[in-house]
Amino acid sequence: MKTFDAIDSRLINLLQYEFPLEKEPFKELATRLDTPEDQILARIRKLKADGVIREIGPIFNSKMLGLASTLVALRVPEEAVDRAAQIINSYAGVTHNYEREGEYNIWFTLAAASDEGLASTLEEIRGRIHPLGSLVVPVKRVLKLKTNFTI
Amino acid sequence: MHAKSNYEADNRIIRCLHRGLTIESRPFLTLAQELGTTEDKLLEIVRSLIDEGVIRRYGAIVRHDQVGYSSNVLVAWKIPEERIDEFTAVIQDLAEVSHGYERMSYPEWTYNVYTMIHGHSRDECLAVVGRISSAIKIKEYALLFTKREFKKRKLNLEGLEI
Repeated sequence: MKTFDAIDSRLINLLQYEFPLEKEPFKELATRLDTPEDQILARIRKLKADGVIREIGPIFNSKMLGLASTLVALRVPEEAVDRAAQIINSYAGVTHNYEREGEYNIWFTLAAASDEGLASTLEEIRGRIHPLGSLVVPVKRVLKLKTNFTI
Repeated sequence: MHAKSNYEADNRIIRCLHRGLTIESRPFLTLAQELGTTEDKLLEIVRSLIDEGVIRRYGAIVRHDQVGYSSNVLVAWKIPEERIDEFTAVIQDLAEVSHGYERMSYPEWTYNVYTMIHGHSRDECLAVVGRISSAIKIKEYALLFTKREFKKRKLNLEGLEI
């Protein structure tokens, strides 16, 4: 597990929870952390290079963008998992794709510009993979969404 | 709820914002120039997208596996419809739970609620599941631990041609 010095810890938390929407956001963070801006920029670049911070930007509500999306589970024979994963990965609308323990062993999320687009892409994927079983489980209600982690 | 057409007009802005910030003194200037607008106007747009709920949050996206949460488990629960609010209250204050959704269920798959739980180890994840289970007094759940990650990336808006 990575450890962070006090400035990095505070910086990571501020970047997640209180990113300043200002012309010079990093200057504002520099003031709050009592550290020169060039050092703050260097620290952030390092955190990105190390893979701690994936990105700084907006997290969109995909529904509000007019997108249709769903979680999909497939039951695929062990020996067919790699090929199925490769097929699923090739679709632009797929953001998450995992092999998981359990009866349904592949779980992925799929988004499309419309409900029709979602349904036809799903049909295409199922047609290429021929899973033993599949579940389409779209969200009915968001109960909790908290994608930031306090360091 | 806004009509989709509002956003179709804003698609260029959405796609540009979606690419994220460059790490430089005036990151919004770079984006504003590309969109042919000013930093002030762009920041105003970002704020209004947040107010409208189009942007859930603006800031760093951290890889949880890099900040100590090396294990995670997707748990599918069977929660009676009338007890979902109670379940929501239980997971709300648990820092280890990042996502909770009620999802479609089927006669052959009656799990209807899903949570993503993060921990420093498999045991820690299991302990959180145990805590939720005893708090809500429901033992019917499936642990869908990750065996392999094939893909995890942000949505490719260009690829979807919105």
